[in-house]
Amino acid sequence: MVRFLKPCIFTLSLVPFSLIVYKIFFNKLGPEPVKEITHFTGEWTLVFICLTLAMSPLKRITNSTFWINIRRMLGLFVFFYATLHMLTYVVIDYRLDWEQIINDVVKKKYIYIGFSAWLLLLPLAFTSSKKMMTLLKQNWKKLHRLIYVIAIFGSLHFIWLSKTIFFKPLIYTLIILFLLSLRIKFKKSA
Amino acid sequence: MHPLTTVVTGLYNKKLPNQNGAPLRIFIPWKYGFKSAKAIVKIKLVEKMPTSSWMWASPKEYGFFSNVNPDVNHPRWSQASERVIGNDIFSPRIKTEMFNGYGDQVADLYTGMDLKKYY
Repeated sequence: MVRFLKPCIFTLSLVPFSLIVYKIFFNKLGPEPVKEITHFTGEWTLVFICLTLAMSPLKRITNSTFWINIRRMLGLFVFFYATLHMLTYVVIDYRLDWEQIINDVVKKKYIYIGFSAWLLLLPLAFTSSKKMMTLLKQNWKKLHRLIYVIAIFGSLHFIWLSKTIFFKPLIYTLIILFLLSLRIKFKKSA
Repeated sequence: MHPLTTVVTGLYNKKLPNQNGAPLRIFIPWKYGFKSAKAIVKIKLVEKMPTSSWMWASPKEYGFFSNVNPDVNHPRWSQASERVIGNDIFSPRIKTEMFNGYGDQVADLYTGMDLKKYY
């Protein structure tokens, strides 16, 4: 079952990527293509963050380890879409104009927090292999709790860049907060 | 009215559609790209400076004058450069010019004003 479903989910996860590549090549992004690519990759990063965070609660609810089997792949798709998002900004939009980019990262809090989130994803991506998992032992779990911080940073990034209408960023924030709240273990009072 | 200002009644040889600001839209080229009026539906002569809709919606970010000014940062982003609408992904950003490049014609309207304060 997992053997069959995993490649399916992998292919499905590449659908947004294929869609944006198609839109770039066939000029279907409207008058502000760079803005479209930035928003598209950014939003899919958040979707994959939510999906990744949903896996361990689903494992508990359904009592199936299937979710844990696909969690790493979804997590790596977070990294994949986040990297595309970051590169769109750095390479396509600002064309490696480091002076402006550094200025933005330092001065604009939404870029600062977005970039921090991407940096925090790096150690998670590098330690995602089975080899690293056995090497780091219990520390692996601790390290990978960074995804909670990344998720919060991601939602703040979306809120802070929004103009005045916070509907969509709030939806993502609520989903993320809900998924995080499922991890709080309430101690039974004696 | 400044000669560069245009009152728009149509678009591409057709009557101005509602979504583009019918019945009348005002086009002020040295403010375009910042926040501009979308449509004129009523004209009132008032004693004090009114609160424009963007000042009301987000007072920290938008002032009354709405001039294009690369030296005044928007709280969320730098306004030093811009992307040209309609260009493809391989076109670079361009440097934003003071008053959209109409400084020679309009800068005198604001003489003596600190445009960093009155943005």
